[in-house]
Amino acid sequence: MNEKLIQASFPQALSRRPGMVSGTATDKEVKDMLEALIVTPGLMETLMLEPYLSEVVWPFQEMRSSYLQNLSNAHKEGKKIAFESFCFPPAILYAMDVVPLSPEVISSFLSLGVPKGIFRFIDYTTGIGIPETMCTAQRGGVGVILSGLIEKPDMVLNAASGSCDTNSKMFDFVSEYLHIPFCNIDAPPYWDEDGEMTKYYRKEYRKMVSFLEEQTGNKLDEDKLRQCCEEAKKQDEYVAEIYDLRRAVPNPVPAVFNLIMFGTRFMSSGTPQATEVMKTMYEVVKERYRRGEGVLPRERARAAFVYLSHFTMGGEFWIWLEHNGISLIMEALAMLGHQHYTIDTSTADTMLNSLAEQAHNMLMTKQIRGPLDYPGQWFEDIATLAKDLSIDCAIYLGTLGCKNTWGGIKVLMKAIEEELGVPTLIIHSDTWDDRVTLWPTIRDQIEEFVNTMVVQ
Amino acid sequence: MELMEKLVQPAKTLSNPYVEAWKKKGGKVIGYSGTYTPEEIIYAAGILPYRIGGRGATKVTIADMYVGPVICSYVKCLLENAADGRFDFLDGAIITYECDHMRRIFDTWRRAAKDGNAHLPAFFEYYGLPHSRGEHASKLLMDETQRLIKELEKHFGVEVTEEGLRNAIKVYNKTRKLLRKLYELREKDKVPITGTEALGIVITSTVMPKDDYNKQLERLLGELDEREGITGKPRLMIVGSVNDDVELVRLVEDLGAVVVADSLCFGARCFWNLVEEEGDPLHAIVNRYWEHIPCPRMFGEYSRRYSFVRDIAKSGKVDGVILENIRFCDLHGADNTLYGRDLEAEGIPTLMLERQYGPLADTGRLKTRFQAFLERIRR
Repeated sequence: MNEKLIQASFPQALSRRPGMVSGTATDKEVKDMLEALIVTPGLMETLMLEPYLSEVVWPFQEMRSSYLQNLSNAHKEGKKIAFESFCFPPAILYAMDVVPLSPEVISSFLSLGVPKGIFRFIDYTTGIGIPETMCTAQRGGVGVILSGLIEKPDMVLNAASGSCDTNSKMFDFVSEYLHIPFCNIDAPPYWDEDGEMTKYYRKEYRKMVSFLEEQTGNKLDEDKLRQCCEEAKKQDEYVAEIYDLRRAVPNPVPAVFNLIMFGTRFMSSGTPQATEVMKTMYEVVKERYRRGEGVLPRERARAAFVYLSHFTMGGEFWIWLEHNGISLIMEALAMLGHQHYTIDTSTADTMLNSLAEQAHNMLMTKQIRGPLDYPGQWFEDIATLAKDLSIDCAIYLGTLGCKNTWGGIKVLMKAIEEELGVPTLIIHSDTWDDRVTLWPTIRDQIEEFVNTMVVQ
Repeated sequence: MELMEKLVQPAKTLSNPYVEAWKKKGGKVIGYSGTYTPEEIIYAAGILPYRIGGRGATKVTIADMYVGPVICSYVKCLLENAADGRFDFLDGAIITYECDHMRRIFDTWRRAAKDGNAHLPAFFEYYGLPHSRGEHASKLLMDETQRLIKELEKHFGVEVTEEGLRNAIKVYNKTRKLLRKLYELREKDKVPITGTEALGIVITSTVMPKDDYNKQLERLLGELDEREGITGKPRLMIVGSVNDDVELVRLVEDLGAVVVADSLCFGARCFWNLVEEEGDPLHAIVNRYWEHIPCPRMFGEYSRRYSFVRDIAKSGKVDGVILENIRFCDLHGADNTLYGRDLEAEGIPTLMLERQYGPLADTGRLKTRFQAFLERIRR
C-alpha cells in the first residue's frame, strides 16, 4: 500500500527533480521521507486502532494525499508554490491556483509519522546556521526543503508577522537563503472586531493578493474564489457545530480530531476534500452525542491545552490522554475564532474581506499578538472557553522556539489560577522534538498533575 | 580626558548624576525600551527620555518567576532591574513592541508589581508597532503615536505642541549629527577613540538630557582631533543583538584589537538617520523611526540591513566583523547567518558568536573565541 501511494502521489519521486533545492540526500532518503509524509505509519496505526476514529481516517488521508500530490505536480503543471505559515488558511491560494507548502505541516507529519523522523531535519537546519533556538515546527519542514527532498518553493508568504518573531524570521530567512520573493502579511499590534486593526489587516491581505497576481501572472478569478469561499464557509459551519458538541459531558469529540481539524484547515481550507473531512468528523461526533457516548469511559479531567499538545509518537499522546480519563477539550490551535466573522460570498470584495477576517482570527495570529489581558487576547479567549466548556485544568506545552508564549505563560497561568480558579501546569518540552523532554516524562507530569490537582 | 570620562561613566550605571540633577529640579523621567520609541515626543513634553536596559543586574531570580527559560538574558536583566528597584526613579515607562521578548515586559513587569515584586511607574504604556511598511502601516503608526501623545498629555498635564516637536527635532538631529562625526573619526587610519569609549558615549546619549549632552559631545569632538590615534591593531566591527555593556567591547580590545564600527541598537542604528526638518513635525518623526536602518524585527528588509552593514564595514576598513547574538535572540541569530554568508563572500572575515548577556559570566569562552578570530585575521 505504501509503495502504491507514493507512486500515485509522486510519480517521479524516486529520483530528485530539477524543481528541488540541490542537496546531498540519497534516493533512499527521498523515498523514506515521502513515505513518511504520505503514509505517516505511526499516526495511521494509532488512528486505525481506535474504532471511533476509523471513519475519518480515509477522507483525511485522501485530503493529505491531494495536498502532497499538488505539491509534487506543481512545477510540472506550471503552478507556483508558496511557502506559507500554518496559521494562515490557504483557501485564497487554491482560488489563485497557487500551491501551498507549509513547513509546519511537513514537520508535524514527519514527527507524528515516524519515530525520530524529524530529528535529522531539525539538525540539518542547525548545520547550515539557523539558530538551534528557533522553532522546531518550522525547522523540521525547512530541513526537508533545504536538503532537497521536496519541491523548492517559488515565493514566501509570511503570515506570522505580528504574532511570532521566530516563525516570521524563518520565512524571512528562507526567502533570502533561496533568493525567492517575499510578501509580509502583517497582523497589527492589537486585535479588534471590525475596527481599525481589521481594516489594516484587510489591506495587508489585498497586498498579498496583488503580490500573488504579480508572481503568477494571473488575475484573481471571482468564480473560483466563490467556490473556495463556499467550501470554506461549510467548513466553518462544521467547526462551529463540533465546538458546540464539546460542551457535552462527557465530551464526544476525540482528542485527535483537534489535529485533524486544524491540520485540514492549514492544508486544504477552501477545497471540497477539506469539507468532506470536516463533515465526516461532525457526523461521527453528532452520532456519539446522540447516543450519549463520550470518548472516555469516565471523564476525570476536562483539560485545556492553552497552546499546543504533543505531536510525536504516532499521536499516542491523544490516545493516552483518553485512556487515562483526560478529555482534551480545547487545544489553542483549534480555537479558530469562527465566532468573529462570517464568510460573505456576495462580491469579490466581501469574499476577500471574509477570508482576511478568517486569517485575522486564526489561532496565534489573534490571541498572542498583543498584551495578554487586552480585548480578544490570550487570557480573555481562554477565560471565555474555560467557562463555556467547563474546563477544570489548563496545561501548557510549547516549543523552545516560542519566545512569545514563553515570555508570558507564567503570567497567563497565574491569572488563570487566580481569576478562573483552574489549576495549571507548565511543562518544559518541545511539541515536535522529544529529545528536549522525553515522552514518558511529559506523560508522568500530566498524570501526577491530574491526580493531585484536578481529581478531588 | 576628563570630558571623555563624563560622557562614558553614565553608561556604566543605571541612574547617573544628570538624571539625579534633573529629578532634583522636579523634572519627570520616562523610560523607553528601544530604538523604535519616538523620543522626541517625550522631550517635547518637557520630560526626560531615558532608555532602560539590563546593565548592573547580577542575578535574574525575580525575572525567572515571570518569564520562561528561553527568554533573552538582556530582557531578563531589565526586568530584574525593575524588581530590584533600580528604575524606581522613573515616572513613566513605554514598552515598545520591538521583539517578542521585549513586548512581554509589558505583561511581566505589571504582574511583578501586582505581586509586590517591583515598582510600576504610574504611567506605563504599550506602544504597538506594525511590521510592514507602506501607506496603511504609516497611518497605523501615526494613530498609535497620537494615542501615546494623548495619554502622555493626560497623565502628566502637559501639552506636546508643534513648536515643541520642531525644537525636539532640531536638538535630536544635532545629537545624531555629532554622533555621525564621532563615527567618522573612527574610520580614520589612526583611530582617536576606542570602541569601548564610543559605545559608552552612545549609551550616555540615551540616558541624559540631550541639550547638555550635545554641548559636551561637541567639546569632546574638538579634543579628539588632538588625540593620538590607534594604529597597527586589527580593526573590527560588531553587529547583532542589543548590548549596553561596555565590558564586552573592552574584552575584545584588551586582546589587541580596536573596534571601529558597529551595527547595534545601542550604536549606529539608534542615531544614523535624521528627522526631516520641513513639513509636519509629527509625520516627520514617525517617518524617521519607521524608515531608519531596520532592526531584524522588520521582515523582508534584509537587503537594507545588509547594505548598511557592508557599507559601514567598508568605510571603516574593517579586518573582521563579530556577528553576535544573545542566546534565544532568533531575529539577530538568523540574520547573522546570512551576514556571515554575504560578508565572507565579499572577503570580510566573520565570527559568529552566541552569548549570554550579563556580567560576562562566560568571559573565558568569549576570550578564546575572540583570540581565535584575531589569529585568523592576523594570519
